[in-house]
Amino acid sequence: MAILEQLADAIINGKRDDAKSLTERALAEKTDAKRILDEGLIKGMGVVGEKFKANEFYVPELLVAARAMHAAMDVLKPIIAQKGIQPVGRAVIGTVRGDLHDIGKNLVAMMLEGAGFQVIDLGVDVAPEKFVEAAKENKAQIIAMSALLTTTMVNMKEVVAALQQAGAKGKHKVMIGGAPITQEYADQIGADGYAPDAASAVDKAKQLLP
Amino acid sequence: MPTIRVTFLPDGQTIEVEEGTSVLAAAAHIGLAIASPCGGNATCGRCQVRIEQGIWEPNQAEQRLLTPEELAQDFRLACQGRCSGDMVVFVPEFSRTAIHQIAVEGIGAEIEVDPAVRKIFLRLPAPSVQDLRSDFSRLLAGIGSPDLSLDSDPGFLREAATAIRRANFRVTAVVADSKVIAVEEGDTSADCYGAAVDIGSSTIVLYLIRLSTGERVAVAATPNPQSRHGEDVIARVQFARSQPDGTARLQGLVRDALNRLIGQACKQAQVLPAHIWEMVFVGNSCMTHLLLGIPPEGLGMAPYVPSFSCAQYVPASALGLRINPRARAYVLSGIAGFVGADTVGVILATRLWQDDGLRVAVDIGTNGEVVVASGGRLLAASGAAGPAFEGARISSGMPAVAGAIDTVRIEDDIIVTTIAGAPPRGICGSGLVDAAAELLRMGVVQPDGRLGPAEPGALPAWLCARVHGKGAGASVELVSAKQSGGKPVKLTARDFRELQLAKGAIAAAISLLLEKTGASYDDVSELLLAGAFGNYIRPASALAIGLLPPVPLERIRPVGNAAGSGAQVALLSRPLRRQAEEIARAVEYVELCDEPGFYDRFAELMALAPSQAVGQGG
Repeated sequence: MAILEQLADAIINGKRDDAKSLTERALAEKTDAKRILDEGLIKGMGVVGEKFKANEFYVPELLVAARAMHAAMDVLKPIIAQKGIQPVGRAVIGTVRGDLHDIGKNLVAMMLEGAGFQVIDLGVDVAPEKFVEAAKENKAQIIAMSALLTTTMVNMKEVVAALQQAGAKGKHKVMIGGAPITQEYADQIGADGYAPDAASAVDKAKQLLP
Repeated sequence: MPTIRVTFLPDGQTIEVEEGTSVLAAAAHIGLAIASPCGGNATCGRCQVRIEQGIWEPNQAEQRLLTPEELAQDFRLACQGRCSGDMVVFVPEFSRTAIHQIAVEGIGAEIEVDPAVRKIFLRLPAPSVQDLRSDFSRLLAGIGSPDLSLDSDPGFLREAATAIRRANFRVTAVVADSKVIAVEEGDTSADCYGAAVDIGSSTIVLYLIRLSTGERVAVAATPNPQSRHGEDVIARVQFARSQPDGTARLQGLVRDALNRLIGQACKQAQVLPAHIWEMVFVGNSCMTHLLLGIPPEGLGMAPYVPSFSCAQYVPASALGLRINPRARAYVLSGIAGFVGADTVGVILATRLWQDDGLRVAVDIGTNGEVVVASGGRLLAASGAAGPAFEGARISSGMPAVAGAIDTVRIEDDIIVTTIAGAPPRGICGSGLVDAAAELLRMGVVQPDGRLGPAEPGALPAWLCARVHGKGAGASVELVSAKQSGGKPVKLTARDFRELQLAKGAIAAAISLLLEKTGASYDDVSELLLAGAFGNYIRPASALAIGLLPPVPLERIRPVGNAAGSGAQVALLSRPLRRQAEEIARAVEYVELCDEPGFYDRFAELMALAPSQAVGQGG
């Protein structure tokens, strides 16, 4: 359907107003909401992710694309809720305790939403217990954590420990990222996954879904 | 525990260590400084050594960070290796930390010499029946300044009393502010020196000054030995937190370096360390905490608050500094967060508060401090650019030492110069900025940061041939293997992304602070480039990529090690020292993470292009 292609394009190119109006038009033309979501939003953000991996897009392009997607999503949300369309998965995300950096975390959140996840963003300076509680409350399959400093990355270990203590380690998968984070560190602390950037984070999150 | 013998080449030194000790630590024990910008976190790959004899299987991190060729040639990472059986390890020159190209010339500020510490030679009248005053009253009256008092240390009182009698009332009083801290026999007034020190994260610089005249008699500098525990301050804060004696060890390292510098400077100037009566320090908050042995914990966690930010006086002997035992140390005030005494030093040296116009001072380093002065109001922020400008996180990046490409020009070839004219083996910050500007101009890199021509055939053939790969795998060869006599020096697609992050942070910090003063780029009457990097960066290149805002070239002025100059000013002038304390309290600190517009501004200003006017864009 041409209109859904146009919608995907509007998102890829960060055209917020077009994304909104195209979504409204599609709904008015009685296009199925799930199709709009899959073939417009998720498809568009999928291309954004590919372009990021190919180094054609970087942070600024991701940001404007995500904004456009949000504009479309705002229109779609009530319909999706009404129809009971389920997200691909649910993820809680936050920057660990003691750390205020959120740009990377925000990008991952946007890309996850763009891939059809419901994302509960806990913000920055998030205490370990909060990650666990939020995951439980929201029945999230994924706990995603970000840290930018070698002084704060240690708090990721605490979340894994808190999960173990709550006997919930199997129920929620933990994935981590941030400049000082490595695969070795993820293995060391018992995290289930590591991703070096927002685009590969989506792949990892999908992989970790049961 | 079994001990292992490790021999390091080409130095030929052998050390016995416990099995399991890291190779990096073993080297540090014998004073062999191997570069470790990430502090052993297995993210930088800089601590390369070659295993000559012994068994060293590369672990997962080494396999990730080293190329198959390097692994085949027996290269390993010192931070990952654990001594387990006698070994012989070769440490190549490119893995050693060495003295960086540093700005030791601060801006020469003209100030009235009025130091806190002075020596006054006195021929005191001897006691008599007509004049029954005590020796100490006689002394204080002889000096004559108002509100004078004697240091309450009993050792001093004993020495002073003895000196006055032994020297038959011809003595030299040493006065610090309004306290007499020493009395020496005879006339020693010529022997009055002070030291101003800039404790940088990478380099420590000491200026030895004759206090009576304000004359600088020696300068000495050394790499900061704390860097083995991490190039950046966060890594050092983490080290201080994670090791039981971490803070003490870091303090010990800087103290030993300071004592070495004192020795070197004294030798240069033919001065005795005992003639140094005051040391004045500037440095970022982490450095000043570690100097004083105060754990920098608060700086490692949100909201990044230091333990102290006001100026501190401490007896020099308490810090283990080998100058006169009665000398004192003074640390300038900090502002907030990581923005510390070094920034106050810059403000002091440049008199940033004085002009009516709008002046901006930027330190383009890891912490990217920006200070904006507008009609008497001062705002400061830390643009946390990250270490890209110091060569870290850039694939061929290196610090500004011999062999680093420091300028780049493209005419009918890519023409580079290197530090000390040595064969090119990597690129430093100023070279990176030049390279980006030139490659942008030639269309090899696009304003949005993509590496590659905008369309096929857009580049002349010779330049096109230097670009290899596409997309995320693209790279541009600045210097071929043949030209360098070793590995080629390239910039990769990822390198430009790192540069975008770094320049975006600084450009956004400047933009936001200017906006808060209600000013636009046109209003800037002067843009001062502080820090070592500021002296070497080519302003035109910085403007071309939008690292600096579009201020006319003639208004951009490098001020070298202004922080160090500020320390000298504080050493030589009591009134200016006090003024700096007041000004530091009045500076408005802006926490960029909290600013609603910062995120957007950062993303906008990531483009490799001259910054647009404040308020416009995106």
